[in-house]
Amino acid sequence: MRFYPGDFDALPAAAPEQMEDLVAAPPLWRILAQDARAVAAVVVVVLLIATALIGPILWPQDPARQWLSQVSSGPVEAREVAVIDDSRNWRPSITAVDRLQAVQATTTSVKLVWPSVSTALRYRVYRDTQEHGSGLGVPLAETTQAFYDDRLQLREQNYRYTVVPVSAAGDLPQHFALQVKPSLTIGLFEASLLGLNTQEGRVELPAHPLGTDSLGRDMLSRVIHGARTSMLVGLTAPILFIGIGAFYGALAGLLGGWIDNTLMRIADFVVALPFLLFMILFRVAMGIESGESGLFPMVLAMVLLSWPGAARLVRGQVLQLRGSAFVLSARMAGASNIYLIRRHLMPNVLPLLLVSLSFAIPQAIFTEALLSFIGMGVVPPTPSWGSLCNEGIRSMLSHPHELIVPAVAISIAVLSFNVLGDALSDAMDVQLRRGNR
Amino acid sequence: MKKLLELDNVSCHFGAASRLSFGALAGNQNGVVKAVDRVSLQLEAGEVLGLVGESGSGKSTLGRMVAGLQPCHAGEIRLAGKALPARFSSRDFRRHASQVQMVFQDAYSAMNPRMSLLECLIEPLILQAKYAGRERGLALQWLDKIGLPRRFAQRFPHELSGGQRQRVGIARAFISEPQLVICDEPVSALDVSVQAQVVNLLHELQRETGVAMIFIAHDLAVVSHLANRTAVMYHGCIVELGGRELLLEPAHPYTRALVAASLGDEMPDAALEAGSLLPPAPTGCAYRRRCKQAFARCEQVVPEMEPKNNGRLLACHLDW
Amino acid sequence: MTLVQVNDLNISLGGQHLVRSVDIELDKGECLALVGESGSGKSLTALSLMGLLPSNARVSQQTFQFEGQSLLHCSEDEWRQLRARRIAMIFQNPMTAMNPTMRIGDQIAEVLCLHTGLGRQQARSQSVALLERLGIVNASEKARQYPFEMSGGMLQRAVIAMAVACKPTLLIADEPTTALDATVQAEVLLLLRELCAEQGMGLLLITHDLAVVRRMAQRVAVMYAGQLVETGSLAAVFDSPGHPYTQALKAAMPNLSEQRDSLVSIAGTPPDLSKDITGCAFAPRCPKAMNICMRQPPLAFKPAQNQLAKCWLWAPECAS
Repeated sequence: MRFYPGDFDALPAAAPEQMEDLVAAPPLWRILAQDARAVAAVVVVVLLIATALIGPILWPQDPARQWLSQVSSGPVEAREVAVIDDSRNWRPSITAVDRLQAVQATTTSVKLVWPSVSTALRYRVYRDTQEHGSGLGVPLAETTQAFYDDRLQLREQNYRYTVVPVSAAGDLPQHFALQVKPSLTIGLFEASLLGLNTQEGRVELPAHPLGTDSLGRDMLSRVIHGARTSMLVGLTAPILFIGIGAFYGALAGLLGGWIDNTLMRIADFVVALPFLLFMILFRVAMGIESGESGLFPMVLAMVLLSWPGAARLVRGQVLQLRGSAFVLSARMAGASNIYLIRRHLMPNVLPLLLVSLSFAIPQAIFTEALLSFIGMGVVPPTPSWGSLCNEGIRSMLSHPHELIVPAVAISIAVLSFNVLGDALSDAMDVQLRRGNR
Repeated sequence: MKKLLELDNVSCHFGAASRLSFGALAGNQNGVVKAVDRVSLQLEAGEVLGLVGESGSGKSTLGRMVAGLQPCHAGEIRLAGKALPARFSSRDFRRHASQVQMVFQDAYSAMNPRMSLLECLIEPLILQAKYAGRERGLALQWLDKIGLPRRFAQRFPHELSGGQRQRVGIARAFISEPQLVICDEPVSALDVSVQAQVVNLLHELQRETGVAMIFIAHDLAVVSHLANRTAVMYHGCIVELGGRELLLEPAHPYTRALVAASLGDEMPDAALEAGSLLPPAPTGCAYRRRCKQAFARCEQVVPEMEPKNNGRLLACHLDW
Repeated sequence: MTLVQVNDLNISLGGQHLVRSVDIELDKGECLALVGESGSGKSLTALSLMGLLPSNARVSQQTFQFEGQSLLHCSEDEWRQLRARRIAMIFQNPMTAMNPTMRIGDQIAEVLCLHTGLGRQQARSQSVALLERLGIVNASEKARQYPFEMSGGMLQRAVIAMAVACKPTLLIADEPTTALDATVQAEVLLLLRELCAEQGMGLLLITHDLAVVRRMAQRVAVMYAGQLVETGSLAAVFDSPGHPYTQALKAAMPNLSEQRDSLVSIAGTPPDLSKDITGCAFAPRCPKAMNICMRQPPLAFKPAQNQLAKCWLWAPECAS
């Protein structure tokens, strides 16, 4: 150890008093901004709400319009197709052919001609979707003439047609076969039904990025409009019942005494009421038949039966705050009840409400989906995510996208609101814990 | 000198409001706890009264009754000659805001966690609406006075240390220039070195503003440092009331036990009373079960506060 | 004979170096008081002796001997064997130390059953005997009560009974009387002292109250900012404190028998423990600070027999 001269001299008079400099706690949004999952959740929630609000403007397809030429199709691009007038009965202009030929191969109709066989009394026409199948496929028709006009649910895919001549003795061994892939067209009748301009002989068919459902309706547009329904229910019902509950609970907590007792017993009573039963009851009472939209009774039942949770939460918080020293201190300084609520109670209860709101929203979205799924919510053709699932589940095995698309939408919405709520409550914990020694 | 505060046989009972309280269920006799029982007391302007006693003796309840935070079930509290209402409405609070203020024990819960320090200090000024325009300046002046740098003004309670918070609590009580400040155990949650800072601050402010103070504490040394007069409470009653010398020459057996227990230096093992676990007696002198000098009269007659020769008030049957 | 010896104990928690190179030595039957303000690291030191540090704490120590056996690489199973049987602890708040849903007697009996292999019936009668020993009248009746039915003093006695049930050789008491009333506190301390003498237990008493230290300890260790600043016999540390922090702590205690105009307080606040400290941790608040104090951490010097102070004032080179 080395000492220096002056080591044992007293320090210069009165070192300045050092005030402990704690790091100021960051505001709530900054804590949230540092939390990756919170940022992701906020982005998704904003996107969801934006989708519900302006989605129909960005993707202006009518969710109820049926593209019968494109039933249950996968994702397709927009393209121009010919309009085919197929209103009249067709007779082939040429009959002298040496093999089975397709005079026209479109999704509107496939017109087949084949050489006539002298011994045949009639011909059986088969269609198969398997290219190299062993069988003949579905029998389409029996005809006495050597041509056939197939208009049965044609899609853009390979078909194998087989024509079997039949004599009095039975099937002849001589078969005609043809591989055909019809091109996409639209019939004049369907085109005029959809209100398309058929002047040029060609029309523009819109894209379906998520494909179409079993009735040929655009999935993307249905999911976007479904978001409207789901967000409407998912946001209005929780905001309403949490608002009502908060007011009710604050009233009970502030007034106290027998009023508090009575109010909370009423809340207990409401908790005991079964939701589903009451929803059905409201439907019946409002004279809503089974084919009409049940959204209003659904929201009504949610609001009327779900507020006690929020009421209890707020009442507990208010009771605790009411006896806390800072409220007593404000009271002693002459604060009125209104002032107490505005300056002291609300700011301390509000974050809690925000958290419970973010947990109530996904629950409401899910309830709506569930009820629409079992047919108690919206009615066709109005889409909602739940009813989309309900429709999609019927063709789950052949066209799984019709179920997966709305199911994924529900999952994303529920997950993002839940994550947001989690992150929010964590962030508030951090905010109050920070620097608290 | 004019009396600032007069308590005339005031009482406060818990569990009196509803018969079906938990106290009643737990087998408490008729479900009523007498937190404060017929207490009479006077306080002059500028005087500091120390209020000591163990937990549950009713000293905090008495302080809160004067502040209007507890209802007064019997008797009368007069402030500057005017009787206070038994139960305060928010209008009563506003009327008395410039007269009585309070410093709370837990400085952390005495500040709204979502209000900055400045907002917290300004609040009482705004609510009284007689400082129009000067609120901010006054609040900053008070920050200087309690020794916090002005840059702390935008801080929130959880960004302060315990001692700093309690200083803000004190400033908040003194800022509206009351005539009486009730300090409810303001330093018992603090460390020794910080405790000294806060006690010194209170002492200085009291001398500077000439405010009257009721200082509630269980630490006799702190009380004897601050108080001109001291009242000792046991089981809702004041048993001894006297001047500065009271804690040095205690008379009542309970005060003597308290003082003996607090004098750490002298190892007063012999002076210790045994049986601090015994509950207060329901009849006669509440303290008689623990009192070594109790005699027959103590069992039957509740001792009343009587003046003794040295200007002291004492509730004890023993001959002094 | 040495009961516990810990050298160079360091504990970090959440980026803060809370205990810095602490040495603890305790003989059989001796009472060592660990004194310090909140945040000085005294409770963490005690918890490390019980092997009860939170899992995210980082600990290092040179030696850790208990009854001649090294506990440096003790597994959790071995710790469980040690706790209660050899080392026991009493916490500040008796309410949280007891299971609120179990009868007092059953809780003590459970400890006995687990660690001494006594039968249920025997354990129960022994727990009643223990409660009686701790001055609880009507012990067999009180043993059937639940914690919430008891007063703080009674409950702390039950907690002590539980701690000493298996006759440990080391008892750690973390602020055992802080939550109690003065008269109760004196009794509980007296009891603790008697028990230690009776069973030859070593007692590590953690407190911030110098009055308690004076009454109980044979040796004193003073902690500041995670470091031991002074150790020594009670008489030496109390009558002629060597370290300015101990001096200030003693001066800051308000004293009943000695009236002063204002209490001596320690200016400033303790240092930030998340940073390294160059020089003496107390130097920024020290009235006697010298140039070297800011530069070099002080070595331990011997101001007197049985006394060590980590302060440059006692260096032989220091002229005054």
